[in-house]
Amino acid sequence: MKTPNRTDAFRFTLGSLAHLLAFSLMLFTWSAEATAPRIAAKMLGEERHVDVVGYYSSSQNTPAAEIEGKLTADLLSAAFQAGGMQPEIDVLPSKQLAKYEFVVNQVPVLICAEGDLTAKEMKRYRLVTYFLSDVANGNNPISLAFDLKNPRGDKLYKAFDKGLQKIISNGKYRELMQKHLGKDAVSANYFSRLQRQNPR
Amino acid sequence: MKYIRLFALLLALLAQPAFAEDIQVVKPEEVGLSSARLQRISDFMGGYIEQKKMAGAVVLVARHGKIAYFETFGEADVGKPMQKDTMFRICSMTKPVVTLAILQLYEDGKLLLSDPVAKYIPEFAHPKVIEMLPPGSNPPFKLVPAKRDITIKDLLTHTAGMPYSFAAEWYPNDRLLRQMNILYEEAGISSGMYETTGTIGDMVKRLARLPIASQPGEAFIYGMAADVSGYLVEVVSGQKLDDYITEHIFKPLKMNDSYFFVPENKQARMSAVWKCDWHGKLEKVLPGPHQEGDYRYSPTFQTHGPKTFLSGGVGMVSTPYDYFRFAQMLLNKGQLDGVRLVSRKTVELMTTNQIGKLSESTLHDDGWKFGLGLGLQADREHNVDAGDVGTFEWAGLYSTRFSVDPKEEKITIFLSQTHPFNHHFELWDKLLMMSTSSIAD
Repeated sequence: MKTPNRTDAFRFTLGSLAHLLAFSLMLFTWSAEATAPRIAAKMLGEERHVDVVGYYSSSQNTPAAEIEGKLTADLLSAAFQAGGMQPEIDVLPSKQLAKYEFVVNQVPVLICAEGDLTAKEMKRYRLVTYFLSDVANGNNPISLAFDLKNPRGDKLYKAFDKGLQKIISNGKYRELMQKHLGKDAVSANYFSRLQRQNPR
Repeated sequence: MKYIRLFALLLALLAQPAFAEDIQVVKPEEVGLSSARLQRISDFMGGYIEQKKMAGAVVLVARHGKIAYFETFGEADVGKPMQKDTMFRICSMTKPVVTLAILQLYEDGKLLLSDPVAKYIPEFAHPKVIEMLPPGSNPPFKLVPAKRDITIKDLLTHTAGMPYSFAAEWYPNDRLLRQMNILYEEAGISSGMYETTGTIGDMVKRLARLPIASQPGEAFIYGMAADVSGYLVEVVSGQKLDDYITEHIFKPLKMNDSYFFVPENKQARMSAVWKCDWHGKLEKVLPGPHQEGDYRYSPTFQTHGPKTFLSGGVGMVSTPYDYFRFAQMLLNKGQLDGVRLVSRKTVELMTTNQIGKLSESTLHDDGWKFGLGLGLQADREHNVDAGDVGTFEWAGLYSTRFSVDPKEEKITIFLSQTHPFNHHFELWDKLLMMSTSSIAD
């Protein structure tokens, strides 16, 4: 059996110190990791990035308005998708807030009605009325306002315009109208009017 | 068949609450109160009825767990004298009950007070705070990101920045409240004081998308937060709010006459709602919604309409005796008749200041603080007429009020159905002073 000499004892002490230091460091590190996230102020989840903002109001809180809202959302998604884009669409419970997001927070597209923008604002944005809903039944047409000075707004405008023509031609538009409104609810001349209002 | 019917009838009778006449009222002197001094309350309340400042009311005073004064005044409805078991729309006295429900879920380990509300209702993620710009600006406000999430504690302390829509009526020069009113109207935010379609979840999700009126935790703004709490109970418990509260609070406390929507066989016991200028012009409010400025209210929201909207802020109907049982449970630090609803520590949490230097400025002002769902008397330095430090209370929009004085182990309950609300403040201050000055030991 080897008798420990002074050098061995020194090595042993150094080794123990190193272990102690490593253990202490580990403890401190673990402690920091365990407590820091609870101390740091942070928000739950990632903030949503929105491309298109719309609104509904409490006065529209009827079954018919709900169907129209779903139809509009489906038509918009289908048109953008056919144009090669999948924008994030958000619908707020207030027109004032939706407009704020468009005008102040630079969300590039606003789903709105004619008259929602002032004459001054109309000059700044490209307002396109697409008559997404069945105008023959007397419903208000739905417009999209695009901020064409915003590169993303310009891209979305081009994609939507192209995609809308596509879904009118390939029957997807008709299919969605009939899915939400029923076959008989869509007026006979609606699709020819739609073609006229949105010419190639 | 006959026996089955008889048995069913017997069961139904057994299920009925104790009639008000069976409720034991002790001699005031047994609990250290003076009968002669309590008589002053009767004279005082009688005067209000005589002068047609109110149609009717019930006052209950209890001490050391025993009811010592329980008197009715005037009429519950035209030609119908007020009864001890008359049922009242307790409006915002719903809030402490819903707060207790949240605290039960907290004790069950299902939520933390420090949890972001968005953890359970994702629509609340990344709230924006509205800041008004100078008059004439377009848009009139700007939105800034909240410094932190809205927490459950913010809801229970009304520091979540969610005013009532009708606060714009109370403070007509406040542009921020006016702007919030406009947004609420657009979004169909209901105070719950009238027949409302849809569910509380539908509305809270819309409310969550609106900006808040202050940074979370930085201002005491009384209002819609309790409705969010009500929906939170539904999300966390997986039960409808009325089912949860019936099972976990009303039944254990034997609050047999407390509901969100009153069953048909008890509707005849409900008091009418009265409109009064408190100067002698008194008239019964007709059924259905009424609009007065920004304030919309209805005497029939718990009996008519869709009955789908369970308002955690104002939705409940109760009786003086039932609410006494709730208040006594709080006074007993969470238990009544051997049944524990929450722990002593949780009641202490409810009844200690949770809003720091802010003041509870809805019913009171400086000198009053807010615990969880309850206003607290913090000192006697300020303008306070009665009560000890530590007294807690809350009120309801149809002129209802309760106060619990832990030091004297005294409960005072005043229930009427009188609109508008703000005129009853003087009555309450005098009534509470008379209740306090009847202490004779």
